[in-house]
This record gives sequence, structure tokens and C-alpha cells, in this order.
Amino acid sequence: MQKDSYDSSRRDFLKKLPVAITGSAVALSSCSRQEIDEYLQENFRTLSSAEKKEIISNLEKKYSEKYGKKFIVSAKPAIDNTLFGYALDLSRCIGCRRCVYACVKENNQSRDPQIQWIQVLQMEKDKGIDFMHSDVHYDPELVPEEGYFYVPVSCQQCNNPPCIKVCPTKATWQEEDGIVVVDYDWCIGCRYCQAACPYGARHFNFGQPTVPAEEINPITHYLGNRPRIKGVVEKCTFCIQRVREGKYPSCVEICPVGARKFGNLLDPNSEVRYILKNKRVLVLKAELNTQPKFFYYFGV
Amino acid sequence: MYRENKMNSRGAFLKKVSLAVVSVVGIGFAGFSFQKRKVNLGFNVKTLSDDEAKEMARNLPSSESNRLKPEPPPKMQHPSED
Repeated sequence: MQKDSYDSSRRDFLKKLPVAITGSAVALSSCSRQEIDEYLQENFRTLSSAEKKEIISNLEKKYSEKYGKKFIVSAKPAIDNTLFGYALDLSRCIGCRRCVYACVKENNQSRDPQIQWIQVLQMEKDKGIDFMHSDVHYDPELVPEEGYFYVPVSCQQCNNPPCIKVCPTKATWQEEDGIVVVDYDWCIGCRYCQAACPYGARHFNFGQPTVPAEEINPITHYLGNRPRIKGVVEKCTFCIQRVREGKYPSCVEICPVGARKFGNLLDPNSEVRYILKNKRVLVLKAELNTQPKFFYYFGV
Repeated sequence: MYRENKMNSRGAFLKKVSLAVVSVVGIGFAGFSFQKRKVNLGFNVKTLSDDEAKEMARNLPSSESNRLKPEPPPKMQHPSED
């Protein structure tokens, strides 16, 4: 009786095997060559220059067809002797959220479901920097409100980032200029990095990200603002597509009160170094030894 | 036999005491060095303590002349929306 059941299951297996093989063959034949190549491609860091060139050319073609705009996908590496740092003047920030929406637009973040890399927290002046009692959903007629101050939080670009240590596929790493990046083709969406980040700076695409074609920014970087897919994690990259071309991040440019400063920490003449030299700064959750390169200070 | 047991227990007691002292000193040292950790970027950065930051936040001037209408607050993304 026992033997019979084994026999029949083996027979069943042999019967189903050709069906499975045929099914797989049909599924594979319905995939384009490009889709199969994308699925099998190596981690960005191990690709040769020729492979990178081919992949980027394919991506530019794919995105241009999808959005009806000429896309540029850069793979520009870090500039030598550069370590990017950020400083934010808490006494100037008025909590207007202009930076949030400039970032969304520049970095092709999904409009629905909504993803925003910058969160502006409203905090009571009496309580100081207190995440437990902060409010991200404040919506008064005008800001700043009396008795409150504002702390914009995004990726802190830690020097000792806990998020990259937990990634099981090594899909996220720190570049030589200090920017922590994600290879969206290698991210498996396990969200370990999201759990490891103490700043809530990583965002997961639960749904298919949507960006209207007329609003898409076609100037992209492979490790930054190129269109993402459902099931991957994304985060602030200090606008890698801009800063490696010598421009400021979009949040720095848009800030109406000049609260945001950005520059090369290795350049003694940079604005950010001036602040670090002349102001006493604050890093969020310093006790975790993540060593952020995002500094907060009180200018007045 | 009784004396030997007594000696043993005194020896064990001394071992435990020394282990406890070493642990307390070790934990204290680790805690101190952890607390003293600062931003390590190869140059000195003067940091604010939490209390100082709180005091500075409390004393921030109100900027009534700079008031703007804020952009809309975020809508939260949730798996159930998918």
C-alpha cells in the first residue's frame, strides 16, 4: 500500500514534468531578451565598463520609449577627494515642505502610492528634539507655527551605515564620496535595511510606482533617480545625478530661507566645513554610532 | 573534608568577587567610551549635547515675517493600499 502511493506520486511527477517544462519554456519565450538579461545581470559594482555601457544604453532606450522623452542614465563614478556632507540650520527652517516636493520631482518618486524621501517633523520648542512627540502631518494655514520648530529628516548618509551591513544580496553600499546607494536590480525587497535604519530613511515600493510622463525627470543616475519598480527599496542619494555634476541637491536649491548647506567635507574652504568649524552641530541619534554626515545646527 | 569544602567555597567566592569587579569595571569603561563617541570624520567637530540643543530650541526666535503656506502633508503608504 505504501509502495503504491510512492509509485503513483512518482508517476504523477513524471506526468507533470513535461507540462512544467513546456510552461517554463512558454514563459521564457514570452520574455524579451532584455528582460532575461536584466534578470541575470551582475551587481553594478562587478560589471565591466562595456557591460555597464550596454546596460545603460538598453535602459535609456526602455525609459525613453515608456515616457516619450529622451532619457539620460548616468553611471558617473565618485569625484576624487570628495566626501559629501550636509548641514541644516534649524533656526532658519520654517517647515514649508518645499524641499520635500522638490525632491519628489527631481528624484522621480512615486506619486501614487506616495513616496517622499524627506520627512519634515514638527516639534515643540519646549520639548526640544523629541521624535516621540513630533508630528509629520502638521497642516496649518501658515508656517512656522508659534511654539514649534521643524526638523527635516532624510537619509543621514552615515559613515557607519547599519543598513548596508544587513543587506543579504549586497545590493546597497557606500560609494567613495560617502553616498549610500542601492542597486535596484539587485534589491530583493527583504526590507532588512529599512528595519536597520534608525532614521526611517529607506522607503519600500509596496505598489507599482507611478510618475506621470509629463512630470518625469529624464536626467537620471543608475544608482539614484532612475525609475524604480515594485518591490524595491529606495532612499535619498544627495541627488547623486546632480552633485556628481557639480550641482547642489534640489532641496538645497529650493529652500526659500537658505537653511540647507551642502558641500565637500574634505575641502577646508567648503561651506559645510565652515559650519563645522564655526558652529556646534548636532547629529541625530549619535549614541548609535552611525556617524551621520548630515549635521543640524542652530545658526542664531 | 569540612575544612576543604570551606576553603573551596572561599576560593569560589573570591573568584566571583574578582569576576564581578572586572565586569563592573569593563561595563563602566565600555559605557564611558560609548558615550564619548563622536562624529569621526578625520577632523574635529564640536557637537551639542541634548540638553544644550533643547535649550537652543526653546530659545529660537519666532519668525513671523517669514510665514508661508506649507505644501500638503504626506499621505501614508500602506501595504493594504496595494
